[in-house]
Amino acid sequence: MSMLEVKNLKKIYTTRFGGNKVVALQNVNLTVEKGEYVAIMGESGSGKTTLLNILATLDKPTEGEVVLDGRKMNAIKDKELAKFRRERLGFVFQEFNLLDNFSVRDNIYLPLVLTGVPHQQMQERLKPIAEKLGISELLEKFPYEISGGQKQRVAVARAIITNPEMVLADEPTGALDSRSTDELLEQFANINKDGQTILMVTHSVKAASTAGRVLFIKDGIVYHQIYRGNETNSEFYRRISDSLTALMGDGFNSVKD
Amino acid sequence: MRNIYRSLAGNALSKNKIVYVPYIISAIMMITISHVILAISTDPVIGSIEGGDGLQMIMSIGIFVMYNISFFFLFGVSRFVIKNRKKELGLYSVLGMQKKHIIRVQFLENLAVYLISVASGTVIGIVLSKVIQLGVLKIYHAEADFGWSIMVTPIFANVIAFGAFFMVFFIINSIGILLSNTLEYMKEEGKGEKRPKSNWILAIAGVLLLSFGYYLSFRSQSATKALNLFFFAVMLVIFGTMALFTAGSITLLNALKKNKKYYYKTGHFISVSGMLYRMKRNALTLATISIFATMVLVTLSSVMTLYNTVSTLAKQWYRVDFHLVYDHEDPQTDEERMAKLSAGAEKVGMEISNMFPYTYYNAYAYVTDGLCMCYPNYTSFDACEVFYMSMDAYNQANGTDIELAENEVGVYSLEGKVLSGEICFQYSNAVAEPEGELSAPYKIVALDDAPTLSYGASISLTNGTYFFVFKNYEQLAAMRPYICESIKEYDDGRHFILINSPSDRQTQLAFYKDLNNNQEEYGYTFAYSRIQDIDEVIGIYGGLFFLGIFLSAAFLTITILNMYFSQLQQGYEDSKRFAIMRKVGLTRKEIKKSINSQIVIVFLLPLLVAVIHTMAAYPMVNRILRLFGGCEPRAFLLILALCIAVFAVGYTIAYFFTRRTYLRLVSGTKM
Repeated sequence: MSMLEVKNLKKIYTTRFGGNKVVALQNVNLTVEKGEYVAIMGESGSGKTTLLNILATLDKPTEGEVVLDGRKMNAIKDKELAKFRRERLGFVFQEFNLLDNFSVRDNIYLPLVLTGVPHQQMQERLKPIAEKLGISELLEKFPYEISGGQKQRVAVARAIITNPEMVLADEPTGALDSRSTDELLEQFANINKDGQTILMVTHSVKAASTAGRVLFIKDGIVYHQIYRGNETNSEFYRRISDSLTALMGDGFNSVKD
Repeated sequence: MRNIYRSLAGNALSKNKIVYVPYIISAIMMITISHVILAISTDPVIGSIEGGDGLQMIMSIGIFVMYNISFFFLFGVSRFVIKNRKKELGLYSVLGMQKKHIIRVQFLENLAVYLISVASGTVIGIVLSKVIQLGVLKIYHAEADFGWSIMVTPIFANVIAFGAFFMVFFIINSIGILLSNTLEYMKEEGKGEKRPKSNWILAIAGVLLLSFGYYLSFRSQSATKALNLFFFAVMLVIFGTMALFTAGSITLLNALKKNKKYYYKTGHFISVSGMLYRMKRNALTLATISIFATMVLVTLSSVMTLYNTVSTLAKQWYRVDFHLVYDHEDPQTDEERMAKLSAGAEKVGMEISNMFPYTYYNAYAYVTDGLCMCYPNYTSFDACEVFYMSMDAYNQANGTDIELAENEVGVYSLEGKVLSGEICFQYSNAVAEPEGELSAPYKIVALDDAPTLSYGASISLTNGTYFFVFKNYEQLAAMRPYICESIKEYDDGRHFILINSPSDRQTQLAFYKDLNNNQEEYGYTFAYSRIQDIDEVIGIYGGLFFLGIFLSAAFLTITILNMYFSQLQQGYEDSKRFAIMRKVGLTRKEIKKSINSQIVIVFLLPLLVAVIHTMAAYPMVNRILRLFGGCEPRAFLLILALCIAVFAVGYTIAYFFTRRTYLRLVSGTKM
C-alpha cells in the first residue's frame, strides 16, 4: 500500500468578500510509496506550497482527499490535527524555524516533549541522530550561535526524531550556501537510505536531482513525473533540466523556436 | 508635495493604531491630570475658601512631580513607537525618501499626536477640574459657584510644557534617524538574545536586602525610630526587589531548567523557557511596577487614614467651640474677661451655652513606668508632650464628677498607653541629667476620657501625649517645682477662657472675626475657634488626600500603560515563536494556555509583590502615622484593604485588555 495517496485534490482561494476565485490546485493526483524520496518542482505560484500546506494539514483542500498510511486526513478532527502533525509528520522549512530561546538540544526535543516522551528516551533517540547529522557538538549551543547549514541540520534532526511516517521539506536549501546545500542534500539521501519517506518541494534542480522521483507542477496540475532509475545525480540533473525546459518553456516557446 | 507628507503621517498613525492609540491615551491622561492639579492650585475660588491655600500649596508641588513623570513616561513610549516602525521607515528610505523627508513626516506625526492629546486632555481636564472644584468646595463647606469660568493658566502651562516635551521627543528621535543607516532599519530586529545566566550572589543579596527591610519594619519599636529608619528600609526593599526580580527569577528558572524531569514536561517546557526570556527582558519593568504599586498603596492608604483620623480627631479634641489664651501679665480677672466676651458674642448675635476659666501646665517629658522626667523644651522625637491640670478644671470642662485623693494622679494617654502603679515627677533642664528633686510618689488613676484642652489637634512630632490631673489647683501649683521650674511665662500656669456655643458656623466665624479684630480690647494673646481650626486641618489633610488620590491615579495609569507596552513589545516577538511552535505541532489551545499562564504570572507578580510589600510596611507606617495625629489600626487596615481592592480591579481590567491585544498580535501571524 502507498504511504501517501492524493486524489483529485482541489484548492480554491476566495478573496475575503467572495469576489475573485483563485484556483491554486486544479486536480492533483499523486502517490508516494513507503521509503520513497520525492521532489515536487514548480515555479512560484505553481501551487506547490499550497500542496505542501495541505499535506502538512496546515491548510484544508476544497475538494479531494489525502490519505496518509491508510488514514484519511480530512476525517481528522481539528483538535487531533496538531497531535497527528507532530507524531506522524516531520517538517523542514526554508527558514529553519528554530526557536531562538531554546538550545539546539531543546529545539530537537520539542516535538517529543509535546508528545510526552520521558527524558531518558529522548536522550537515547537523539544520540544516533545527532551523530548521523554531525551536530553532536552543537547540542548545548543556541540557534543564533550556529551557521545556517547547521541550523538546517538541527531542523532535520527535529523532523526525524519522532520517527515520522513522512518528512515534508519546503525549499530546505533555499537559505543555504552551496556547500551547506550539498551537505544537507547528502544527509537527506542518507536518511532516505535508512528508510525515511521524504517529500520535498523545491525549485532547485540540484536539490531535486538527489530525489528518486521528481514531479512537475504547474498551474495547479501535476504535469509530468520522471524517475531516476539507475542514473547518477548529475545524469538525473540533466534530465530534470531538460524536462523543465520542455514543460515550463511553454511560455517562451516562441523565444526558443 | 506637502500633501504627501500629511497623508503619509496620517497613514502612519492609523496603520500603527496598536501603538499610537495607547500612546495618545497616555498623553491625554497625563495632560488631564496635570490640568486638574494646575487648576486646583490656581483656582481663585478654592484659594478664597478657608484652608484652600494649604491645598493649593501642596498641589503646586504635585505639578512638578506630575510633569517629571509625564516627561519620562511619554519619552519611553515615543521611543517604543519609533522602534516598532523601523521597518516602515527603512522602506521609505529604500523607496527614495531622504532622511529629511522622513523627519518631516515624523514632525507631522508628532504634531498630530500633540494636538490631539493637548486638545482632548484640556477639554477633559476642564470638565474634571470643575467637578473636583465642586467636590472641594463641598468638603470645605463653602458655597459652590456653578458658573463656567475657564481658567487660562492651566491650559497655557500645559500647552507650553507638553509642547516642549513633544519637541524634545521629536528632536531626539530625529537625531536617531540621522545617525542610522537605511539597511540597519530593514534588518530583522533581534539577532537572538544572550541566554539568561543565573546569578546566585545577586539573588541571595536580594533575599537578604528584602528580609532586612522587612525586619526593620516588623521590629520598629517607636514611632521616632520608625521615621528615622523608614527611608533606609524603603531603599533596602527597592534594591531587594530589583535584585530578586532580575537575578532571583532567572536563577530560579534556570534551576528548574536543570531539573530534567521537571523541565521536559509538556506544560513546563515552553513556560519555563518562555518565562526565562520574558523575565530577562521585563524583570526591571516588573520590579519598577511592583515598587510603584507599593508606593501607590502605601501613600493612598496613609493619606486616606490620616484624613480620616485627623478629621475625627480634630472634632474629638475640640470639646469647646472657642478658647482664648491669656498671658499671665494680663491684669484682668476672669470675671472681667468673661463679661467682655459675653458682650462681644451678643454683638454678633452668638448665643453662649457655657463659659468658664481653665488652667494647665504644658511641658515635654520622658515618661516611663514610675517616672515622668520633665524638661522645658522640645528637644527630640523621643519626648512626649505632657499636660498637667487640676481635677476641678477637668470636671468643669468635661462635665464629669471625678474625685481624687491628695496622693493620686489621674492619667490619660492619647495613644491608649497604660501606666500603672505609682509615678514620681522630676524636673530636668537637660535631657539626661536630672537636677530637680524627686517628687513623692502618686498613685495612678486611669481616666476614661481625654480632658478638654485649649489645644488644637496640631501635628505633634512627639512620642506620645499624656495628661496628668491632680486633685485641685493648689496641688497643681505645689507640683510646679517638679514639672516646669524654669518656664517663667507659665509662672501661674496658662489661663484660658473656654466658650461653648449652639450657634451656626456663620455666626461663630463672625464672632471669631470680631475676636481677631479687637484683640487689644479683649486682652487675650491667642484665640482659637473650633470651626476655623477644623477647616484648616481639613484643608491641609484634604490637600494631601487629593494629591494622594491624583498621584495614585497617575501612578496606576502609568503602571498599567507600562505593562501594556511591555507586553505589546513581547507580543511582536512572540508571534513568530508561536507560529513556529504551531508548525511543529502545538495545538492552538496549548499555545493559548501557555500564553495565558505566562501573562498571568507577569501581571500577577508585581501585584502580589506590591501587596506583600505593603503588608510588610504596615507596622512601620502605622507607627509613623501615629506621629501625625495618630491612627486607628483597624481603620488603617480597612482602608488598606480597600485600596488594594481598587488597585487590583483596575489592574485586572488592564490585564484583560492587554491579553486581548497580545493574543491578537500573536495569532495575527499565520497560526
